[in-house]
Amino acid sequence: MKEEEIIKKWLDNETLSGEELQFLQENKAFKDYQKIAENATYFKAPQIDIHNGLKSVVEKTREKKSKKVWINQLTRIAAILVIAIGSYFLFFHSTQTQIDTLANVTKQVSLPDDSEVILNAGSSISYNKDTWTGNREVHLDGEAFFKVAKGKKFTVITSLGEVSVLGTQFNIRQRDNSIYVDCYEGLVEVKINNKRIKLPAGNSIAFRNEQLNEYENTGNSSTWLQGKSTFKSVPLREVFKEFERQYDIKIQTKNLTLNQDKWFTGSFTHKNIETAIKSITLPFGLDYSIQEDEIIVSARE
Amino acid sequence: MTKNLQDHVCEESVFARIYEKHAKNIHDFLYYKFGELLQPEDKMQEAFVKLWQNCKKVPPSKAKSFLFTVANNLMLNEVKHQKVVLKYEKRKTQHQDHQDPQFLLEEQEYLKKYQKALASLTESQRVAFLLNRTEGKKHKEIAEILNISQKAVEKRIYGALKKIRKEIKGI
Repeated sequence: MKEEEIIKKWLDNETLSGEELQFLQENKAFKDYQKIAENATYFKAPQIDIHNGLKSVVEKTREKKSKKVWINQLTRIAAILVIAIGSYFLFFHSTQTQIDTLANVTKQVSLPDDSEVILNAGSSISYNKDTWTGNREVHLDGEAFFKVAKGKKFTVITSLGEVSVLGTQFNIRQRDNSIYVDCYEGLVEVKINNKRIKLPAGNSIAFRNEQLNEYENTGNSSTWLQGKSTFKSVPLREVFKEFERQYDIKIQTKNLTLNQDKWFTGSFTHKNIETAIKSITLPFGLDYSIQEDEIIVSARE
Repeated sequence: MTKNLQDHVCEESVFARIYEKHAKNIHDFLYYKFGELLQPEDKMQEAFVKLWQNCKKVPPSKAKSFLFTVANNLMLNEVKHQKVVLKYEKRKTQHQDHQDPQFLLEEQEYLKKYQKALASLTESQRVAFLLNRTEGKKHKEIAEILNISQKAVEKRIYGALKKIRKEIKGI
């Protein structure tokens, strides 16, 4: 189409021949086209500043780089802070208070409500300071004597069972697979395997190898508080373990098997190792020799 | 060796040359395509920042298409299918005093219609037409900028012209 070709040529600002110009002048749409073409400049894009534009791009790229490094370092510092503060709260600021005793050490602990706990050697208790007033709960691993101030229910949780009381004096010994609870004053409730047992003053229970025994106790507090460990029909192996804890020493046995048939009733002192080991070995007719860091117990030939 | 160095857009002098060559075209392209509402200048600048960040991956020969693609995508991310309205400059004509009010009114009316007509064009028509009519670019140059054939440019401009006339005349 001739018209289209000429208009395209005109649009490309090419010089037109007289004949072509003539042709366009005669076209009635051409006047409109001319006006449109002229007025298009009204819609011209705003001028941009090439020089400053380039500068700002260069600046921006530099800024971005340094910003990135800066942010990077900031996140690192922040991460370290978070970890440090986090671990501080986790390890040092825990509301859970834990008290441990090493072998050969006993410790007296006052709970927030004036209740008292005396921890035997190699034991630990933990309790939550913050929730104490509404919830008197102590986790126990080992042996401890409790003097509970009057108040709401006081519960001692061990891995084998729970003991709860209102206000009393009682002792709990939980070692390995056995637990012994002695009540000296008031009334104690023991919950083992979902079984609840009421333990009045002067009574004790022993739960050993899934077997429950009740018996009477003597005295008005645990003998270990007076520096003596007392046992009533307890396997010899357990007695040795307690001995190891009290004297922080190892007991080795030689040509001797600690069967279930060796039961010990009696006590040993915490004050003299020689007397103590004698009081255990004599009833069984066993020999012993005390070395620097161990005691060898053997059957008499 | 020097040739190797020049192959890098990371070289500041190379980058500057690319900027000077393409900045305006990219800006105009974005402006005519999407209008002024979406800050075409900012997008153009951003595209150059992206080029700088990727300067190791983009050879100078690919810089132009990289810039156009990035700039276009930046725009598309923001376009919400709104109609493009190009602002016409409010120019003070020098011989304002001698013109009668009716003429001025008519001119205003005309530009308003023109504005609407431009909005009704396709993006490609509008870009080609305005690059040609307002920036005074030859068809060949536009073809280079848009990476299309000269024939296609001619077709777009001619189509735009016809359509604008139709819109203004209300045919």
